[in-house]
Amino acid sequence: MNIGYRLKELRKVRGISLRNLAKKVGVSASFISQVEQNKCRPSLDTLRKIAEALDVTTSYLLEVERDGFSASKEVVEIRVPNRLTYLSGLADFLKSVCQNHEVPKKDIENIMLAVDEACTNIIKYAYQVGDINYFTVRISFEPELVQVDLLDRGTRFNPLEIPSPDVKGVTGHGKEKDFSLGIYFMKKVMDDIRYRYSPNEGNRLTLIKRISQSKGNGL
Amino acid sequence: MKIEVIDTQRSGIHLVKIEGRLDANFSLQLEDEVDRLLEQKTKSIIVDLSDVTYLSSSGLRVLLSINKETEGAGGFVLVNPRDVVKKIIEVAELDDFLTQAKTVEEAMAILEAKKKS
Repeated sequence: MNIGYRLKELRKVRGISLRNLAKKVGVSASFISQVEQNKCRPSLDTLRKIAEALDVTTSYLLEVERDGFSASKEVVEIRVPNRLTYLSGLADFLKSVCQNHEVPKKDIENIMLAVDEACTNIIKYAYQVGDINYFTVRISFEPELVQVDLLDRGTRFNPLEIPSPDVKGVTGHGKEKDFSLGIYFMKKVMDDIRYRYSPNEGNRLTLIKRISQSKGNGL
Repeated sequence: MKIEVIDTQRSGIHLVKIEGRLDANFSLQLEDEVDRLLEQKTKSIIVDLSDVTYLSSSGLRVLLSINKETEGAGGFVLVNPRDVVKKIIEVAELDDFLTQAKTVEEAMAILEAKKKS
């Protein structure tokens, strides 16, 4: 997602402590730590030394900043049975992978809420009750952006067509009432939501949260 | 999620203490528990949210329905929601609609005052 994340991950894989890396590069351990947290940027010369010490090319470390999205995109995907009992495990998983990518706490809470609502809708309504079916949750981390795609092969359904609810009146039962508050939440806490249906893939709901400039949106 | 029902020893007021995630998987359990109380002599419900770590739209819908059920004869007060839960109530713009208190004692006082008025 960023140079700090790459560096930290690489250092863990190589098993080189902050102190040892700092010694090899000729800087302080706290400097390396700050780079890992994206709190400061190393000079090109320092970056070259870091790359050397970790046995990678400088361009590997820089790839993120150089050509942006695809080079630094990481995707994690899980298949989930359509059972409400999986919601809490899914939330824990989502939280943990977002924390690994140093997504701010506030953004994690927003993403967790939107994904929980979207998954609840799939579990409750995409398939015939009782049948065991699976849906896919695909989380993509890009620089300054987290995207979650939810894919199911159930009934074709575009949640974006559901009108906003009268929040205080959503107490009754029925599919539409059940949906509307959850969808209202998703729209409020995410930066962008898209829906696409294709016969091959089925339903695909895409939830996008921008990380750096997301101010005041949602929670 | 865990639900504990506590008799407040004051007539018609029950305290429901919830622990964990109040999501679609558990919201019905809360609704069933509260329905059971309202069928008896309970008029007012206090829901202690101190240990609730997450609230989804289905949990919120149950809270709204308890609010509606208790509206006439008694009352409904939420106690001490954590920031993450408080924010979800705010996103739904229900922070003024649902009565909230910091402590169970404060909630009782609110309900007692309501009973007198």
